[in-house]
Amino acid sequence: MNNKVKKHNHSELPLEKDGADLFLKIISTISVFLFTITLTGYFMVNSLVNNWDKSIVDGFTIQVMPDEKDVTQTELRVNKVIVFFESLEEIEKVRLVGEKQIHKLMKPWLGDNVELSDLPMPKLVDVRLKKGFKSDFSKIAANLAEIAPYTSVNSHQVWLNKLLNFAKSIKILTCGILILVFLSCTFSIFYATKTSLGIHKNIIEILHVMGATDDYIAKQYARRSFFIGLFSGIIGVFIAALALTFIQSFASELKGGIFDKASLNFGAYISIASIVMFNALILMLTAYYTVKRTLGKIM
Amino acid sequence: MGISKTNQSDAIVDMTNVCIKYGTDPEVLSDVKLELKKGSFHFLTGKSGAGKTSLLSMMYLALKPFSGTVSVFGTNIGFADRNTMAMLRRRIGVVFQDFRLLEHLSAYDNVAVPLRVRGMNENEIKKRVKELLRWVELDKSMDKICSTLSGGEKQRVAIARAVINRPDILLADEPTGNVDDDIAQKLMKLFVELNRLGTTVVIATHSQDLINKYNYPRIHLENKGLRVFPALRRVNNEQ
Repeated sequence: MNNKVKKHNHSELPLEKDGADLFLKIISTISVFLFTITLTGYFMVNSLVNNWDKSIVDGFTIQVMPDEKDVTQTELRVNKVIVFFESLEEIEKVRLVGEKQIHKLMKPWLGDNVELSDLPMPKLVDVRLKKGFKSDFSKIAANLAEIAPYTSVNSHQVWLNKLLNFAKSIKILTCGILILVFLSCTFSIFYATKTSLGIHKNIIEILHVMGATDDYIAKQYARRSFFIGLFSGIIGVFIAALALTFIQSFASELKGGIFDKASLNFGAYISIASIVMFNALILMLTAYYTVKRTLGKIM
Repeated sequence: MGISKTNQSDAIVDMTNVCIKYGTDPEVLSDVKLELKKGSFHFLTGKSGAGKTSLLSMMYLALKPFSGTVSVFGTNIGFADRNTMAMLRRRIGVVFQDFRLLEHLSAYDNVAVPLRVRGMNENEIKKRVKELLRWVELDKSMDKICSTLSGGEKQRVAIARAVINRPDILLADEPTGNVDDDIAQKLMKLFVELNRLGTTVVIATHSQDLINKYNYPRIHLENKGLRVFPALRRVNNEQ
């Protein structure tokens, strides 16, 4: 048995040796992992919502039904539509969607072997609005109906609104999960610290007799908890990063155009990285105030 | 050098109508009145269970009276907040019968605790702790963890820890019970020297030899009460 200690020990409480310490490390790592995954999810959904919002505001599509007997008539209708929109102040750009692009859009449904010219495909006119302008779609639809029958305005708004509502629900849900993870972590620290106080009751009594204040004891817990927070924070974020990389590689195989738009900006990366310090501070402060409060009540 | 010999009149401990009881158990001490003046030296005697440890616990502020008033260094402990109590405890040195060392720490670190809680710098702590451990002949064992020390060594560590702060009052429960005569003599010399420098000393003991050898007043606990005998020779005469 090694009966000598070389270095002088400035912390009288052997916190690293009790069961509560290990419990705290495990709980804290799991919490950081869940927090990181959820927060990243929140930022991804947020990014999707912003992109979708932008596309609602930025533009819309006009469908021009073809004249099955006279192709020239179809082209005239398209020209009328383009001229109509070019005359409006709020319009930035109007263009006819090319055959190639329509073919690409239809490919998932029709496959490679269908000749589009054989089908009565509507012509699509893509309309982009100037920044800061919003359109009154019902008015546009009414005007178009007058000058160019067989057209319809597809503002994407209905289905995008549904998607936005869904995404916003997910955002609220992720916020709820973040709060729950935070609370469960805080309560775990609270009870682990109380358990540890029970384990070291005799030492704490001796320290009090020696003149130690509650603050002196609480600082030892705070210091230890801070380092546990840093350690478990780094491990938790690292595991979460691995999990997210795996999920990302899986998601990249889903090509639908919807998920492609999700990305993390610099602020999101900073927020995720700061979870480590945030976790350490939460552990430190919770442990500190738990000790102060508990000692003030029971001893 | 007992209470009758000191010229200083400041009361370090002042107990008035103090009653000690635990929960619903009968009273341990009842209607106790006691005044310990600055620079006094007392032995505390009484049979096992007479309340010596309870009385000492109240003096080192680990126990509040069930009723009555206890003032330590002029502060009524019934009304003192936790920080005030901590500051008062820093002026008190305690040697426990069961040592109550921090077994996972070295002898050095145990003795350093009272200085560290005061926030003293490590260089000063090192100087004072090493000097005192050398004096109690533990300089070669200062880095040993306490769980590996012998009973006598632990007792010396406990005493060194109690006196390192140069306390205003030293409370010792059977401080010479586990050491041989030479060390016991040396420790008693330390207590006497501290007392000569102004420390109030209370030593709880069952050792008649110790009481016989040193001419100090005696606080005797019996029948839930307390009697103070001014000095041994007078006590012997009375008895």
